[in-house]
Amino acid sequence: MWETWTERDMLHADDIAAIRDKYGIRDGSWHRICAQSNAAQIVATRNGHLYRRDSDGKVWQHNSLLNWSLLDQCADTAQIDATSYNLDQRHYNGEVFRWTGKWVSIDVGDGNVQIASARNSKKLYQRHKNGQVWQYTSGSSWMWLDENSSTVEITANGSTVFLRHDNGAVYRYHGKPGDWSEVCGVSNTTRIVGD
Amino acid sequence: MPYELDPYDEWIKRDANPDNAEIVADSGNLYLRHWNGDVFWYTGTAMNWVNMSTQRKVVPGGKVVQLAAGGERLYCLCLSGDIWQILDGYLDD
Repeated sequence: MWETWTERDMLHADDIAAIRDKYGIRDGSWHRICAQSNAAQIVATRNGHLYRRDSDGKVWQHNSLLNWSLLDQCADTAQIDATSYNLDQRHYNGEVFRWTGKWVSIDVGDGNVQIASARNSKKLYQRHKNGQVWQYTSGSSWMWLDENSSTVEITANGSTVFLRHDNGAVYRYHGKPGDWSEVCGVSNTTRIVGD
Repeated sequence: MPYELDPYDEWIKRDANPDNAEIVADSGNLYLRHWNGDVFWYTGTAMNWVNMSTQRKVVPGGKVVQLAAGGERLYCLCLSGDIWQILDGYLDD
């Protein structure tokens, strides 16, 4: 990870020169990598991959500059999520597919309204409309983690998965189905993000 | 310095603004988008954010509607359909 300096005005010119000598000069300008698409969602991974989902369901992988590779064109695609290891998509009917060079179904859906990848691991989770939370294991198998009709969002990091209830409370999973602890009580929380 | 995640039993208020629409995080960098499309980078000091839209020149694609961060880059999806990228961190020329 790049070093960062926030109090630049306090740095002497010699300090800045020394920093640049050690770490190089960063390109702090914006670069357009897609022009006037109908992109509806973008997902970036820690190892530098970028994917986009268009409003017509097309899924693309960014190569370089303005060059993208088309990975899928299915109007049923509702969501994509990705990690350094996997790219997954959810269809409006809840079905989940994983990209392996081709799209492989890993869940038949039925109530699945959200998938959530742990960004720096291979873990994948899904949330059902009735509040069930499942973790992907292998093949088309998923392990039940929780069920609470108040659950309205999940997010994950490499260690665990979190869920949010409609009253703003946030819970952390402890690795055993049904074993969750509250990390934030009733609040105005409207979005949780894992890193 | 980049911020570090707090222990889960401790929450530090990093910002308080009804204009906040979205947050994304990656490898120690935290970004924030306002409803008006402005994009901010968290400096590591509570309540202290840098407006990347103005400090790093306005995102050229227009209003930003979604953020994504990864691979030491921040990506901005704009209302125009443009996608723009910029490197993480904050050390300009």
